[in-house]
This record gives sequence, structure tokens and C-alpha cells, in this order.
Amino acid sequence: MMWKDKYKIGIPLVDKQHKELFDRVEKFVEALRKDEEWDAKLPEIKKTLAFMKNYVVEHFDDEEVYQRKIGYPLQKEHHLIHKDFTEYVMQCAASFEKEGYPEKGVQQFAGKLLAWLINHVVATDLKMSEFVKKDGDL
Amino acid sequence: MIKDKLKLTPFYDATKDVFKSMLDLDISKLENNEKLNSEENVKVEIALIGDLSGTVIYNFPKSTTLNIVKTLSGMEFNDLDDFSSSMLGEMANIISGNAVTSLSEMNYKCDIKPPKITIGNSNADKDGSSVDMFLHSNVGEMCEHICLSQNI
Ligand SMILES: [Fe+2]
Ligand SMILES: [Fe+2]
Repeated sequence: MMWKDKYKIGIPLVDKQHKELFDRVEKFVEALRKDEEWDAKLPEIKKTLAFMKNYVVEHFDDEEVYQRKIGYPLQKEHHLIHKDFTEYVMQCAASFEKEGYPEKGVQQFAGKLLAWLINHVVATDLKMSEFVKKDGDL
Repeated sequence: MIKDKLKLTPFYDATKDVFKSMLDLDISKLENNEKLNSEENVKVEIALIGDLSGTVIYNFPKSTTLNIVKTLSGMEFNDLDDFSSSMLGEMANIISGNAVTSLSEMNYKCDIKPPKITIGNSNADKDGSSVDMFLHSNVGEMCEHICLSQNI
């Protein structure tokens, strides 16, 4: 399994969404790695990419709503990080659509996405829970 | 050329932090590494511009790369491919970004360029102007080839 309990940051709502996000990324990566010709895998790849992509946006939005609610001081910086990454994901999705989902580009995208996501959760999102714990106001 | 520890330490510290947070692993420095000269590897080159400029080349041997990718993805990989090399490219990007943040706290303002990622057998050439940092952790060895000069 791609999700690990040690990625939990201690905010139940966020942890639940992170697990869902990792599960969707996992489905996408599994679709890429299926032992079949690339073209045969394309319908599943497109479906899992769309499924995952929507959730990235949904999760970032929900996380930002939560940050505003708790008065998180690093909300602006966090928003910019989400915004940059959302743009990257949207740009990739648009160019895949245009170029017919080239294998090399899609594989590279998936690798970067997974590494980015893990680091974002264990470093950037974690700071949010450190604030909550310090502030004691959930 | 930058050889003094002060400016190299941010790269070591950033690597240590990222390995700890992402992989739950401790790293240590090695004197030398034979494996890096023979094994197929992922090479990630990141250019720095600003008060310090030059390149940092991260070299991940095949076995190290596959161990890292397995730990992070929970999936078994047998060969270096676009997925695995891109994961390592992003890790090197994250490490470099963190190192640059520390450098800016030391009043060296720099930026990084997007990583150039290649799979192959070559290594960065050792010359008088660079420093090689050989690192070890439970996923295997890796090397950081740091070649920076100061512009202020
Ligand atoms: Fe976030
Ligand atoms: Fe998040």
C-alpha cells in the first residue's frame, strides 16, 4: 500500500483526505504499471488521472478552508505552494490531452507527483498540525 | 570555488532532513564509494544561480534508487525507468530547495533551476574545483557532487 500511517499528522479530517489522495495516486500508478501495451492501458490511465486530479484540487481547497478556520499563520505561503502545484498538475493534464498521453511524460509526471506529495504531507502539512498542537485550539 | 564547510553543510543537512522525514532513515558520510563508479545510476543535475552559482549533481546508484522507490511507492521496481528517475529527481529538487533556504538564512541569496535527470553509467568528473560528498543510509549509497563559486 502506498499510504503509510506514519504520514498521519494528527488532524483527523486531513489525515482521512490524505489517505484517500494516496489511494487515488496508487490507482493511477497501478494503471501505469499494468503489464500491458501502453495504448491498451490508456482508458484506465485517463480515468484514474482524472479521478486523482479532481481530488488534489478538492483536498487543497478543504485544507485551506480548515487553515482559515483555525487562523493558521502560514496560510498564505501554504496556499501558494498548493497553487503552484495545482498549476503544474493542470498543465501536465492539458498537455497529455493534446499530445495523446505520451508514456515518457506520464511516467515522469507520476514519479514527481508521488515524491512531491509525500514531502508536502510530511514537511509542509505537518507544520499545520504543529501549530494546532501548540495553539491547543482545534 | 566554494570548499568551505559552511556552504556545503546546508546540502548535507537538507539531505539528512529529507531522508528522515520522507524515508525515516538516518544518513552518514562515507570516505569513498566504489559502487558509484560502475553501477547504472540516476543522475540529477541542479543548477544554482545567485550569490552562489554552479551545479549540484546527485548520483543515486540503481540499487539505492530502487530501494527508495520501493519504500515510497510500496511497489517493486526492477529497472530504472522514467517513473523512478523522476521520483529521485523530485527528491533532489526538494533537498536543493531546502539547502537554498538555509543558504539564504546565511545571507547567500540563490535560486535553483529545474532538475536535469538522466539514467546512465557516467559519473560527474572529479576535478579540483568540486567537492564530492559520499553518503550512506539503509537504502544504500549516494553521492553529491557540489561545484559552486561565490559571486559576491
Ligand atoms: Fe497542504
Ligand atoms: Fe494536504
